[in-house]
Amino acid sequence: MKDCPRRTFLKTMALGGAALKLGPFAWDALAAASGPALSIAHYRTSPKEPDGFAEESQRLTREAIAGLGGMQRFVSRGDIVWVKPNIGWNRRPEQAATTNPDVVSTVVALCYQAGAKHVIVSDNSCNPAVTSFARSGIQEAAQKAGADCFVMDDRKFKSTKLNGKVLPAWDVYADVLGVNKLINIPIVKHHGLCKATLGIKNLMGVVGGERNRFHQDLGNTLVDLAAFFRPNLVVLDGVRVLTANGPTGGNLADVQRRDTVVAGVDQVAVDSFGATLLGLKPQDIGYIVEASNRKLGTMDFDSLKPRRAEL
Amino acid sequence: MKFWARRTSWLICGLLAAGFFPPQSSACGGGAPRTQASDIAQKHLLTFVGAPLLGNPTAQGAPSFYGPDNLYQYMDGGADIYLLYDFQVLLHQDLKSGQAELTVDIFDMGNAEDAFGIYAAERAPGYNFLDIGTEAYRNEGILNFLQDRYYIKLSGFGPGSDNLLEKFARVLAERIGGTRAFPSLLERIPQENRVKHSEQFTRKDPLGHPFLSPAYIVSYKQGESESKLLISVAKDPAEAKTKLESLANYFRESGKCEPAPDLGDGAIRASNTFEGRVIAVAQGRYLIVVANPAGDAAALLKQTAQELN
Repeated sequence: MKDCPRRTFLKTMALGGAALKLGPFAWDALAAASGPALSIAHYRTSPKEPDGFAEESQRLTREAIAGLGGMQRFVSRGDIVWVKPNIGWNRRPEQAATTNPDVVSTVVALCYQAGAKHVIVSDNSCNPAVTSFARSGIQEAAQKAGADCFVMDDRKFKSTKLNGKVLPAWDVYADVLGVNKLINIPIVKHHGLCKATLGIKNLMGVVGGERNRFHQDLGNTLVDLAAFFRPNLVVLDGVRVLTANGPTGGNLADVQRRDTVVAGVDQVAVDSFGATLLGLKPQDIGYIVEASNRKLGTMDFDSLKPRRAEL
Repeated sequence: MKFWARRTSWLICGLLAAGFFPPQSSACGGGAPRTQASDIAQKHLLTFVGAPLLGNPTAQGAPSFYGPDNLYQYMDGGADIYLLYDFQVLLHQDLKSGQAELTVDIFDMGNAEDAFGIYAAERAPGYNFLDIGTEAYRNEGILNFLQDRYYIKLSGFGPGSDNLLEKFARVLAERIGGTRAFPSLLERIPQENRVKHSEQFTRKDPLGHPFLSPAYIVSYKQGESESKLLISVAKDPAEAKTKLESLANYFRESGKCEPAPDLGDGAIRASNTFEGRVIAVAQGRYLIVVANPAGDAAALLKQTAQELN
């Protein structure tokens, strides 16, 4: 018992030292890593009607986050939170190319309940942004929940030192660096080039510049972003899943229900579980393997003893 | 007001047709300087959407054009597969007709074979197919079709959009003209037991092997068993034989490979634990492979060789 304060002090110093070496949100990410790392919520049924679907998405999101100890573990009073869904495409929510707006609005509401001062929801869209923000349903849902949801301003991308393996520096959206907390909310979907778009891939939406250059070495560039940003929380939308022709999709015949939301602090574990929703193994996806090799998290998500909820 | 709205829509269409809207590269800008060839391609694409369309839709802004250098700005990682098929130019245009919002994307792939390749890569045999252009399929809110060297993708949102998509597609198909035929090789290979809409044309690593590029791949089903017929296209008969030898070497190293004179001159039977069994023969400038040979696969191989002779 005598050693406890000393041990706590040393642990805090070690975490602090590590945080100094890591990205802008690393301190909070490390501090928040003192509870469950992964939580998986699954709905037993697949409601078709809009109200039932919305209720399912909201309950799954709340339950998944509750499994980690609740949003208050990640968001404190007065925090400014950046919520990063996938708003990349001019697609309706049913087409499952963009994050489910009910998942996004639930996360926003939970942030405010935890005491957040301000919640911002945005993404650097691939398709024309104004249309994509509206069509995805995210803008309306986020605004109704009290968030600011605006199209990114090209002038605000600033060259930022990432100290990555292949990206020493890149254009990052400056406002993202100015907030206290980052919550990544990707959707699970097929991707023609890297097999799956999950959380780590979703981080491409907070950077600008010639993002096509990433595709020459997607594994390393994405993991450079993951190592830099280290979101405080990842909430993975696997309610509807685009199983083919991603990332753009569009055909409802390619969309399947998985009725699952995953929340986690280990972005590698979250993506590894997400891969299974597409019938893939984590080892099939280059950036997950690279992130695991760089010790950003574990592909063996079961080793984290995820909290599972069947609703 | 209605009169002015209609006049405005005709004016916009007229301006489009006359090319008065300067082509926009993309929201993100950038990209290489446009070449004369891409300028011609862009002007040609404008003629498809420039003249008035059914329902008198109004253009929502100027059309955008994307080339190989900046397609990723529109499609992110989805662009790579288009580039693989030697994508040339994309015209993107948003339209509005009443409450219906429509998006028209016309991909100029440079030639009919590559247009077929990208179209086929994005379709599945279970889709809801229509007789528009060479082939079309639709679902709620989308209609995609292939015609000549173009892959056309239409999206609709809002009340009435689904009705307009098909009408739009038929008008565009009429304007595009050109060939409505599938690549001629597909007409020459056996029809019996062929899985409808399963035909693919791939430029990269067919069955995982770079030396098989480019190739057509078609599924054949007998009972519950499905075989894949792969036809790798070579420059000449010598290259086809080299491809066959590469395939034989690969199986010798990873499993086993034996001569199969009963299947044709120089034919092989091969297998390994990863890819299972294949039979293959070179015929003219083609290497013909049947992967997972099921049912009367030997007859399929021999008949294909005969048809391609």
